[in-house]
Amino acid sequence: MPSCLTSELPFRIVGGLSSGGVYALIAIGYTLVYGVLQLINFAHSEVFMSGILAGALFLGAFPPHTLGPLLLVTAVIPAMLTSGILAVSIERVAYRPLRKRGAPRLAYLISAIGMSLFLQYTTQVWRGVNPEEFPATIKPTAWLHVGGVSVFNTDVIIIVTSLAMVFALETFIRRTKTGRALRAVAQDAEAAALMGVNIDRIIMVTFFIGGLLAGVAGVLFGMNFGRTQWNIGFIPGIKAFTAAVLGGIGSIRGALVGGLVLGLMENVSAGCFGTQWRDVVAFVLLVGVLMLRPTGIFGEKTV
Amino acid sequence: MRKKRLFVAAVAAVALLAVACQNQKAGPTTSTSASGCNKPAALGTARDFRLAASHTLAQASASPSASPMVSVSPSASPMASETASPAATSGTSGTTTGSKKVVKLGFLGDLTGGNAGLVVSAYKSAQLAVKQADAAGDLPVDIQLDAKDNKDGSADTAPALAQQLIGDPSVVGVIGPAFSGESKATGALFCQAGLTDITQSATNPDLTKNGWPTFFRALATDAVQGGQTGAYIVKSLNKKNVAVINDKSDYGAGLATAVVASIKSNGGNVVLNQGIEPTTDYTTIVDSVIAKKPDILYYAGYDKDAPLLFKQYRQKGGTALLMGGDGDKGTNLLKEGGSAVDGAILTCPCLDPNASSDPAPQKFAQDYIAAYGEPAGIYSAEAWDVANMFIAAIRSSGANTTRKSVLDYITNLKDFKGLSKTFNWTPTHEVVGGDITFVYKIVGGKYTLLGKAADLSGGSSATASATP
Repeated sequence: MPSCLTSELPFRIVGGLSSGGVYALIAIGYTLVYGVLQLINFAHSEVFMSGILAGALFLGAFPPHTLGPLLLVTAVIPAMLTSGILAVSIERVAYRPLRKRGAPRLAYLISAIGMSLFLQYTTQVWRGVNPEEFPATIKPTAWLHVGGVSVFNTDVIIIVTSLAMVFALETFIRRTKTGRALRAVAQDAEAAALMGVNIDRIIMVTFFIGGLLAGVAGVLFGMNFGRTQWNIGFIPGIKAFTAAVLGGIGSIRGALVGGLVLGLMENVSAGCFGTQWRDVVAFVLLVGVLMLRPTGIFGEKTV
Repeated sequence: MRKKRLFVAAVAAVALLAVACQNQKAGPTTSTSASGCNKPAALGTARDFRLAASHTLAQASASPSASPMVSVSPSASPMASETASPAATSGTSGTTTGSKKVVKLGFLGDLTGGNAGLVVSAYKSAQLAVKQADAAGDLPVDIQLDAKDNKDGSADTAPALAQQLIGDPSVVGVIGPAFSGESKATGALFCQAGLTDITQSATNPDLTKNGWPTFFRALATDAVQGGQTGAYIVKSLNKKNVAVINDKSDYGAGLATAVVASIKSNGGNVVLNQGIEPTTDYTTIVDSVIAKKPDILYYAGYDKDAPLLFKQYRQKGGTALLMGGDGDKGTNLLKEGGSAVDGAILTCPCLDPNASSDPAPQKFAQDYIAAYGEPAGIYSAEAWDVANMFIAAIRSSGANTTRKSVLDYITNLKDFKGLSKTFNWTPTHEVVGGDITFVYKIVGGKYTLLGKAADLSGGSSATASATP
């Protein structure tokens, strides 16, 4: 047995779950919007980027010696709000006018890509091309040592936060009135409208929730890698979209499982075949799953 | 339902293509070859350092042909870094523009992008050289510097900037291009135009194998640096197990190959040898390194990415000695790396004038601080030397300076005393006896000079110890 499947495996699992947790949180933004509107919101990677940037700017406003875990938790709030509001604005500007005119799907896709480029380059002009620091708030320390594997506090924070957010979202959608309305719109928008559901409001809520989670993901990402940049959302955005498709786009649990599976596959395959092969393996997996189960692991279901 | 699936599959295919293009995209230079001006040998790999993430979905899924799309001159670009604006003091030397003929020297490199830390200091040194020559008061012409800012040092955008320099008949020589990919992408163009370019920092060994009569290199190659690094690691540091990571650029991959070969030939052990495109998330490679438990982690890449890799490696509890080549030895490594990179060892074919004990480099270091209020950075001595070669060429022909006169002068250069070394060219336009690699260590947030690699490792692989 190669070492990537024996002695290295625990490492890889921890690293994979940690990457996958962030993918999952971003993927939920894709999957929710798809579930409700059957639309791929490619500008979501910039929603994620805005979350990192907001977190970095917020933390940057404090003197370095005051930075600590408490401030990191506080930074989540401006990041969530920024991302949430940006997501709603994107819907207003880029999608709603198309929806009102009954535009074909392709128009949404072009609009999404245009929005994504617009936001990236606006940020580039505003913040410059160079990376900026995401202030360090937590000193990474090993919390657990299990069989020679160190599990770091940052990994634990990412994994626990992702799971908690997904659980909270599931509860919200299952248990609240707005959640029920959201499910109704996803199943049949016309019928829901006839029953008195305000579709525009529900769509706004959908984008807002996706944005909130992307904001959390942004702060986690910033905490882990300590950097922000105008184009930092692109790669995680693509990966998260892949995770959403892998898990079954439209399904929240699918996004979670897809994110974690993708993170794990990337990390384990990087160990077995070398880092060069990471993306190749990840996408071969995606193609493989889509061939056997065209609707993803959990099947395409709507929210 | 079926349509829906098709749609999702189509979008997934686009995403797949986007990522595939990023990893595979080759950037063939679009040059029509004239006699004697060959295109680079290995076009398939002709793309140098580029942010993996800098290509958006739309760009990446579009045709991968290298199109000259950006042409930014520093005077028109927003200054993003904290480095002083090159435009502020741009070129125009002194006050005596009056009736003298204007002769321009081009400068091509990343002045404001992520790798500007490797280039700005060289540019300022060239400016200083021109200013000093002007202050001497006996210049037969008015020499101006014309800088072309190739953000992030991308090989794709360099040809368009080179064309701008070529298109200006008053440009008689080019300092740079700064990076190997840029040099490879522009060499044939400069060659056709008969325009001399002397690089102060592009170190890919293959560059001088293209047979461009106009291309010269003022410092040792990656092959030399890599060769001496292996001996230094095994014989001087007494370390055995090395993990070598490169950034898959022309520069990084070439250097890594040389380092790996020399570690092995000196009896060391390469426990990991992998390439990874510049990214933010180095988790997978860091885990691989930690699993191999090396004594040394060597990164062949640029200083924009090195601190991220090193920091993430330290965060995950990695304890190996950190090492890198000249591409890593920029200001950003110190700034962003912070305490994580303390004690790291970097090799460079470049002379750090601040750390030199010879009078000429010392004087240059002081002049530089007086002019810019900060110490001279990487490749400053080399760029100053290159600028002075051109100035000497211009002096010798006076008002009759042409591209041809400059090329003739540079080609026949004999014993030109520079700060970094004395210049004579080999038939392929490398420096004779210029195979010097300096070793630096980061101590307290600064680079300190340990010495020449060949001396430190017992002179075993030294073939020549030329002048400083």
